[in-house]
Amino acid sequence: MPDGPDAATVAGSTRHGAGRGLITVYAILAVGSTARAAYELLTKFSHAPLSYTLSAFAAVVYCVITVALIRDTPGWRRVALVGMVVELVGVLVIGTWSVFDKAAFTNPETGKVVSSVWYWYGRDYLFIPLVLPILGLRFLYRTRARPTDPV
Amino acid sequence: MLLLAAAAAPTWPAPTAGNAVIVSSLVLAVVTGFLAWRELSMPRWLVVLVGIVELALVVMTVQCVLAWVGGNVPEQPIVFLAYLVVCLAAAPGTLWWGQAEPGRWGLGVVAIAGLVLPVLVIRLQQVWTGAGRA
Repeated sequence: MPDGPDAATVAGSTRHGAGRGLITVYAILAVGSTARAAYELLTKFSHAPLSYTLSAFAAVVYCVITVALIRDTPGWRRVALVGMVVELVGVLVIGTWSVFDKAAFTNPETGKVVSSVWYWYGRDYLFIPLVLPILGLRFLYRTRARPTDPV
Repeated sequence: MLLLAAAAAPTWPAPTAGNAVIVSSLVLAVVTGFLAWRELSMPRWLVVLVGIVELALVVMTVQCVLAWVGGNVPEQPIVFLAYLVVCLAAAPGTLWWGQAEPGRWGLGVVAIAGLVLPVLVIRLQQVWTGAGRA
């Protein structure tokens, strides 16, 4: 059967199948982290600028990925891919940083640790921030554009 | 010291309804998770299960609003309101969104909502009382 070159290399939808599960989790994380960041930035930013800036950055990343997965076009698919790579690198770097450099995540006035969304690899969020980008990238890889196999 | 802190800090106004949400949403998660795993279609009676979760959530919300009006104010109002909206929308929202989806992920998203709701309710208590991490 002669398939057009376009039809043969179209990527799977990010809005259906497992993508629907991903969108659900990303949307919930997006709302949760955005609310947290808004509260932190509006009420107590000076207490721990680093932790709170990182929380806000994580919130933006989650919002962008959620929108990209829902939009479901080739361009937005690339946005989702970049977003998940940033998310994975972010949670690994920030997570490791927070483990080894406690002082950076401490309020100098109270001496208490100030958590962030990616603090300790996303401990506050049951480590979902660590697992989710891996599942997301696996999903994007599995549904990537490729020549259709003859069935 | 403990007594003083308890007198000053806001108290969680809906322990019973909150627990009812946790239990009913876990039941929802188990049922929909099982149906999704077996790749069965969405049964009509699922609406009843979602209705029970939602009823418990509405009771919880009313108790919280009454407490708020009465002066028992949440520690982090912005976060509380955002989580509350997600809680109220989670089960019916995913049910509606999952109906349009063929295959196991239609029920899968409802199962995700059922798993997330208990965590959200616990977070609601923490942001109300200010008991969460610093």
